[in-house]
Amino acid sequence: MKSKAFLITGMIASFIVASTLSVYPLQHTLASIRPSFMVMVMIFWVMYRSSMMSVWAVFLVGLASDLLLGTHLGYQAFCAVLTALVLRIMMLYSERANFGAGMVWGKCGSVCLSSGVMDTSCFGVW
Amino acid sequence: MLPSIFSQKPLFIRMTIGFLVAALILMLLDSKNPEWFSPLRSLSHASMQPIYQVSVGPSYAMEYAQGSLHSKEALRRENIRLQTELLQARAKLQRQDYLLAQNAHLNGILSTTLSNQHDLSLAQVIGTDSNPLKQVVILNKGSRNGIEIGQTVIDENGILGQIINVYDNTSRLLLITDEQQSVAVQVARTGQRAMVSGGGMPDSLNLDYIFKTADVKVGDELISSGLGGRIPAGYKVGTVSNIDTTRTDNFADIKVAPSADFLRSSYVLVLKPKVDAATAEGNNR
Repeated sequence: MKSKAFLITGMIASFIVASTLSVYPLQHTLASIRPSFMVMVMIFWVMYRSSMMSVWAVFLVGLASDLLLGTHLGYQAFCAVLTALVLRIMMLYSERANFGAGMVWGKCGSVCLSSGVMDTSCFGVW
Repeated sequence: MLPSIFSQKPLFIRMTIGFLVAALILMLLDSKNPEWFSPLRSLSHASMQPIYQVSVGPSYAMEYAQGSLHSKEALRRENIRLQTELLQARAKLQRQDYLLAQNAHLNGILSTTLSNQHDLSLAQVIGTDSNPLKQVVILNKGSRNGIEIGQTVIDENGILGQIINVYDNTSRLLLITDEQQSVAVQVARTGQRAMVSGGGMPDSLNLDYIFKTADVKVGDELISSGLGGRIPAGYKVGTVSNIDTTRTDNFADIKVAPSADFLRSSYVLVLKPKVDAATAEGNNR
């Protein structure tokens, strides 16, 4: 129980840090290559504790980044929910494919790669 | 076997579909009635304010470093350069005084209103907005320095845009290259009135609603006409860089190269209306 409270605190803190980094004013050249911190942190939490990062939490994170980045309300929430779904399907698939003991990081890499491809194809702005 | 960090999870298909539909509905509502969500947006901007506040620090540090870490030789050279520039500027100003006096005289004859006088206050650009597709930059001066919403910002070459949000020590500047911005201009050579709109790119503007037969040439200078009532008259906006008459309707596609540098301007000038001049003028009427 204590560890769950700890995890939730960590999750909220990580999203606060990510939103700070995604809003912090940068020079024009740097701003164009700014990584999408919110989506990175969201993918981590969906992979690490999928039960805690449920669909409504993903939706709320998407709404928050909509407000922060000034896109249409619901646009990034839509993308985030879709990304989380694809990520879950990929993880289920990689689990059933049964790579074996030494392939945990390979699995991790494949999931990251596929979600990254999904991410770039789905969002222009993030 | 390594403990897997992936545990078995459900997919929540129904919930996902529900939230996707909710997001679609929100998008539709936001595009139809953006004003419904404006309190939420202003709340989020207010929550960003502390982050902007923190980011002012490095810009002051850079300014301090630039001011204190110069060699003596470089300072001497810069001093000489600035003195020559000052001399040239003063020489130009002499003519300017004469022109101003003549202009006031002519205005008196024509009994037109005097153009507004402005105070200039220097501000520094500390960064772009969180969304690089939006043409918004953040300045390090705010309401404590007398910045107000709607004030026009220029750099040494031309108009940059206007202030849209003001906080204590920072403010947000919407550039005229934004898709939602337009400036009332006139062509300096012919005096023809027109409108320049942004296209969302930092290096080009569009001159709208000019007939194909109109007298506009490549290289014509565009100067703000002040007709919109927001941006004062007489400041440079850009020069016509390309005219394309292959469109099917009566209007030409005219590209304008902006005179202000939207990418590299680090110091900008905020135009504040001179209060005493305006009231004095009002009393004279």
